[in-house]
Amino acid sequence: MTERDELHLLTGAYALNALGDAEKAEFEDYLEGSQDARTEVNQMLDTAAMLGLSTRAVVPSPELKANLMALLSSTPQHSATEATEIPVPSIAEQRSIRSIADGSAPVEPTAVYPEVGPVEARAHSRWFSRPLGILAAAAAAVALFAGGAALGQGLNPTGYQQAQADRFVAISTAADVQRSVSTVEGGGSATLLWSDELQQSAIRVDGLPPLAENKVYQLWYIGEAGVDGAGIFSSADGASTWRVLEGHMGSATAVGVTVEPQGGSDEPTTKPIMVIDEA
Amino acid sequence: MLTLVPQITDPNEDFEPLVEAVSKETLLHRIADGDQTAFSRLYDDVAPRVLGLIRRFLIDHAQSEEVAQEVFLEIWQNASRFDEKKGGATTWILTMAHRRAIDRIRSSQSGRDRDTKVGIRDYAPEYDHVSETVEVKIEHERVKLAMTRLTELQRQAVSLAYYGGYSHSEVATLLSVPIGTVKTRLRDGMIRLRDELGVAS
Repeated sequence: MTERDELHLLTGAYALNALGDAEKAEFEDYLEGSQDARTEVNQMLDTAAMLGLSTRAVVPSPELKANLMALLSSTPQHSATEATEIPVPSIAEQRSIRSIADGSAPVEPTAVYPEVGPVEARAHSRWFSRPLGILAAAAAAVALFAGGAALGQGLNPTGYQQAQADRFVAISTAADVQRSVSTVEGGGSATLLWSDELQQSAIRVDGLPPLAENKVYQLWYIGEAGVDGAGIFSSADGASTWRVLEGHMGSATAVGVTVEPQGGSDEPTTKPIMVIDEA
Repeated sequence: MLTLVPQITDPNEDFEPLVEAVSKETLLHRIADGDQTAFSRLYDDVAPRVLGLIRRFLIDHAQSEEVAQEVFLEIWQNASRFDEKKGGATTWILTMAHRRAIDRIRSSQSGRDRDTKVGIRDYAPEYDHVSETVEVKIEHERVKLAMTRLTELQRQAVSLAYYGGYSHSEVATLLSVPIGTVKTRLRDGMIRLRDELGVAS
């Protein structure tokens, strides 16, 4: 058997992704020069995809899509002719955003989106799909919400998370979005995103110290008029998580985070672990 | 005035953003031009399949979503490299998902660890039965049937490689057969599957 025959035997292993790095590189060189091998490999890749399609579908969390849509505008795209590789950032750099799914939020915030009928949704969708990159994500969020409403908003147990995810996308893709990153006393970091136009803000935290079971983190809008509670969250294992703040920014000039007893407090009872100025 | 004419004469224009049927291939071309709405639609179409495949390998749901996120960012970045002449969009996407899931288990788990994971891979609490269309069920049955046409060694080798994420040398060790035998069984098995599933161009 010639070396080429030997390599041709690897079509199956290649399509199944079962080759080591060195062998894979050698086989890809061989592929370049063999139309027969390319045809066979393409058919086998189609076959392998059918094996993939026969696995059970798993519905992703709404946060996955919200997170992705929020990342698009800052993720560069290859042009067709470009030769250099743009590596997809590793998860360490691009931590997945996870929602606070422990149901500890005491009050469901009032929906910020009015119920939209299909006609308005289409109008929105058309309006937003004008070629302004940043608005496209907002259009997607509107369409997503309209779809949810059609299926029966309120019956959906994840409706609250969905609304949170939609608002997070709206804020992070707002034309006037601003960001401020801050380190946290005791470890971790937090990024505050806010839009004056939307009068809303969201916080994304990374690596906050875990709390005792009966404690939560509480968010506060801080302004000259006083301090207003803006929701609570927990940080399970120091993982990356985010939260849309409840209420409106109003005249607040800063956002603070304190550690409070389970359920939250009416006003801060501890020294803030972090205060981020909304400049 | 002239610019208004097409809008008046096209009664479907109003519905275009929500109901227009667009192939995944077309969506990929639009994504290559930076169209985020097209990305959103493609995501809705394929995300449950992509995540389902990844969950076969990585039992942890959060970790699976991380890998799915990498896959979709790669789709966003590399959509311009998608070439219809080489294969369909579904194959392109699932190949990418399979490769990234395998990269993840090869880099993060020991082989021993995986033996138990493959055994409990069907545990999927978030699985949404409603979303499994008749079409997918038929697909599943077809693949199951096609698998029965393989010899036992072919079936074991293909299953371990595709669903277990094992390299051909690992498959050889697991099945106690020479690596040359595994190579030929993987190829023969895939050719048989291809013919049984009617995949040929």
